[in-house]
Amino acid sequence: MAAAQTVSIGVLNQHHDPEEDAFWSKTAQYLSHNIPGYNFTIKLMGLECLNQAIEKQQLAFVITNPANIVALQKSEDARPIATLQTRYQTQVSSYLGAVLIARADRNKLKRLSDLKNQSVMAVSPSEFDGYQIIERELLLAGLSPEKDFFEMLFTNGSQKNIVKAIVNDEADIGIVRSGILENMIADKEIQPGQIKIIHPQDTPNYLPMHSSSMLYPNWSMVKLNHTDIALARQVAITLKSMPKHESTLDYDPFYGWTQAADLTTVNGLLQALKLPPYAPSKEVSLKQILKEHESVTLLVLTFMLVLTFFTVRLSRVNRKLAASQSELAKHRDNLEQEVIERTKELSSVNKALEQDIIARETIEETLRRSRSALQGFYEITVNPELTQHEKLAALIKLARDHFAMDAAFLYKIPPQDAESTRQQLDLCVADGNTEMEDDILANLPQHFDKNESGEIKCVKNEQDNKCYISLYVMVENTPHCLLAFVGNSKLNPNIAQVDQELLRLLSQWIGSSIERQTIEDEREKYRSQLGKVTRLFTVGEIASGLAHEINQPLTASINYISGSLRRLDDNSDTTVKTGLERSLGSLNQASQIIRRMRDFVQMGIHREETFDLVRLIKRVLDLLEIESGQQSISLQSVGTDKPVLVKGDQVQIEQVILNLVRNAIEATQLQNAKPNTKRVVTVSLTTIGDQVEVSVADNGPGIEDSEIEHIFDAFHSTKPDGMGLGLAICRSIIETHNSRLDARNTEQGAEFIFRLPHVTTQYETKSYETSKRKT
Amino acid sequence: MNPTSNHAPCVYIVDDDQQVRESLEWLLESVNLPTKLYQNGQEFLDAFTTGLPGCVILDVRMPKMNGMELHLAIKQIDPNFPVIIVTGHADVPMAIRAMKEGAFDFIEKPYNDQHMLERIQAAIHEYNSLQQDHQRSQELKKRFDSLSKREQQVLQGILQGKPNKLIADELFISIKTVEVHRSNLMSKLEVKTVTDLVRLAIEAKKDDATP
Repeated sequence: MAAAQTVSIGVLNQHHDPEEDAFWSKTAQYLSHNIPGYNFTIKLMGLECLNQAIEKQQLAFVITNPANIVALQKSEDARPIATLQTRYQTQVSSYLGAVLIARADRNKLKRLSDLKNQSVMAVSPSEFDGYQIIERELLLAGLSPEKDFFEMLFTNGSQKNIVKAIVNDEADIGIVRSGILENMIADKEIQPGQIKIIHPQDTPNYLPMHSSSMLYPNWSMVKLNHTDIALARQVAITLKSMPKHESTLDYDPFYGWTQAADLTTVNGLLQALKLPPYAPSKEVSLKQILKEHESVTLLVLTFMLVLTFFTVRLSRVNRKLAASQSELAKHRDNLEQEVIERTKELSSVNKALEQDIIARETIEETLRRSRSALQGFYEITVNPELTQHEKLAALIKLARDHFAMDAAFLYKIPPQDAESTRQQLDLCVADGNTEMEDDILANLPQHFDKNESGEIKCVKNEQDNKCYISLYVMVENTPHCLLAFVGNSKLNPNIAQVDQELLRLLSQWIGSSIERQTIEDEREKYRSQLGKVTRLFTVGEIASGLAHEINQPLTASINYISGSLRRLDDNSDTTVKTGLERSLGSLNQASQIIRRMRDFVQMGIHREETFDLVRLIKRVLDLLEIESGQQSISLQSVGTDKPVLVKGDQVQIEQVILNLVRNAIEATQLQNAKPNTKRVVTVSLTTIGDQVEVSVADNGPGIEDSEIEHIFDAFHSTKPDGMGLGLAICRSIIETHNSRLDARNTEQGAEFIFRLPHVTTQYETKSYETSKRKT
Repeated sequence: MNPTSNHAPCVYIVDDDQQVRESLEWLLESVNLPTKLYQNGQEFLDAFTTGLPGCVILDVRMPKMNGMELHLAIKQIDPNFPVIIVTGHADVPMAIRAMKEGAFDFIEKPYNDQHMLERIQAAIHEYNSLQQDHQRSQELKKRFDSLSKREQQVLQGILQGKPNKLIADELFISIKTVEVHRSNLMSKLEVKTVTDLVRLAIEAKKDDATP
């Protein structure tokens, strides 16, 4: 299963309350449980912290007070998705208000106007329900906390402490959230008659608790701008269905979640109080204040100085007490929260570390194993003592051991693979327990699909509790072989990346060795074919050469004898005449024998076809590359960058070029070759009119002048072990092509030249014609 | 009269093999045929003058310029001069090619002396007659060319079988003048009767069409 995505919910937390925290974590747990794939966590934060976290997009959701929500609506496009519910006795509400409280025995304090010159206590000016709500009520009543109160105290502690402070007469008036009183009464922390409500409002339908103010929506959960909408929708739905909190107490501030409430009233409040997002920029406000209240400010300042002088003495003790108390509470709260956060962080880090270590160990083990396998693989492939087949067997065994499989098989796929099935496979190599072949045949893919050829298949068969790995060996992009392993199912079906690489490497090696073998075979076949042709030509040329050599003196003898016979007149000795006639008869018989012999050993059938001379030359050079490479002779070709079509007998022309290039290679190796020059043999093609001139040139010593007349004669050779037929054969072939083979010396060495008819393709002719028509 | 008949025909032998060359000379001398020997094609081409009676015997296989090439070179100079190609290793395509290119014959070595001699005689005879035809037509052309314009007009009239009067009317000349022209052209063309004149004209016309 994939790891759950962590979703952080930021909660505005200005004072620590275990009951509150329990509710938040319950909410997170409920969400995590009901929305699969996500792990919701609660992050308790102060206002500063919360804003920073929102800015850094660390939070997906935020639970905060309505004032903050309105601010976030403007800055982050936050949208409330659920609002917190409270319950008092049987009535459930999603609203909140604030109450002004005083000791019950302060008879004179009833209305808002009575608050003038009183000492007022609240938690913090930034608290929405602990101060700002009342501040608006005061503003509506024309009261200013700064001007009209005797003093405005902020405790920064818990609201319950304010209630207690009022009971203990430490201040005249207290400002707390609606519900706090009811809660404390329910918890028996105060008596019902001890505290009274100033400026009580009657809103039983919306808020069952006491309130001195207008009502505002309760705390809500909002989604932020970057939060996934689908997730937000799911959270909203899930929260609404979250079971309500069960409590025996009258008042339950965390009863559950309901539909998101309208925040319009909050907007009004924030506008009235000039709070964010409606706070005017500081510069402007200062100027405004100075301008508007110049004289008043001066008066107030002097008045305040006088007042402070008196007040300071009176309230010093009181203030110090309250301050130290609030300081203490603050420190305690902070400390606790820090400890909780640290513990949470540490445990999560610990967990992550443990997982990391386990994962790393697994990877290291896999890596170590595949490194040793790769090492073995390399050693086998470079071992010069093993034949190709032994290497193959060793490699398959290595792979089998590596995967701890029982048996391995390499099958050759028949070439007509479109219809081939597993029954037609040829077993090439088997390794390990060969009795398992039936198993493997039963589990191999039924048909061989070219498209999925690159993939490694790993099948686990639950019935026989065995595991099968199979992959194709590709030769020229078609499956050529199938490599298969079978073994116990201990193996993890997800083969590690490195192990997959090992398998692919093995398959590639087999593929390339098959390819190499095929090329070798083809070259060998070609060589033997050429050899056959060479032999045929050699026999033919022997006969032809012999015929020519004998024919010349034979012709001469016949001519002489015929001439002699004609010179004899009737008076001459008839015996001489008879002798000459008989010898003429014998000579004619000899010439007949020679003619028959030559007819018997024909040159091979001359077949006319159109072929690409460039391809032929490349093939010849490729064949001779090995010989010349050993002698560090460079074989070059000129004018062979595109196909050149000629007409003739391809096999015979190939024989000619092969012979000429071979001769040229030998010429560069001669004793009297120029020293210190790079030995080069060049085959070049030049188109001359409707003919293609083929030239084979070397930079050897060239042909001696005395030789050049006879170089093509049969049985004439400058090589100590030569038959003297190579060039004679070449000449015969070129002559049957109605052309001639020429030899000449160049500045570099020797050059042999012949021409063949050039064939222009239909396409070329056509394009030539169209271009002509255009012009 | 006939310039070729003043010269004895000569057989030119081109072969790089000395013994073959000389033995053939020996054979031809036995029937009193004069020969000239050359050991390669270029040597022969340098010495060759057209118009003299005779023929040439070439070997196919020779260094530098082979027999087939030499044959073409000779045809360039004189397309009528007979060439007999001799080879020790004949094949059918080569023989066909040689004949197509206008060789008189293609003979395989070693050859029957009688056959060779007959072919040589035939070649010389054919070239002779060709030469004679050629010379006769040259001479006729010369004779006809020597006629004046008026004489040619009169000749046309005679050949069309018109009487002198009609020719005179058409040419706006007197009958007397026509008669003078008529006798002049007869003597220029070396004929005595109108029949001879018509035969000569037909012969000249045939040669005109052939060249």
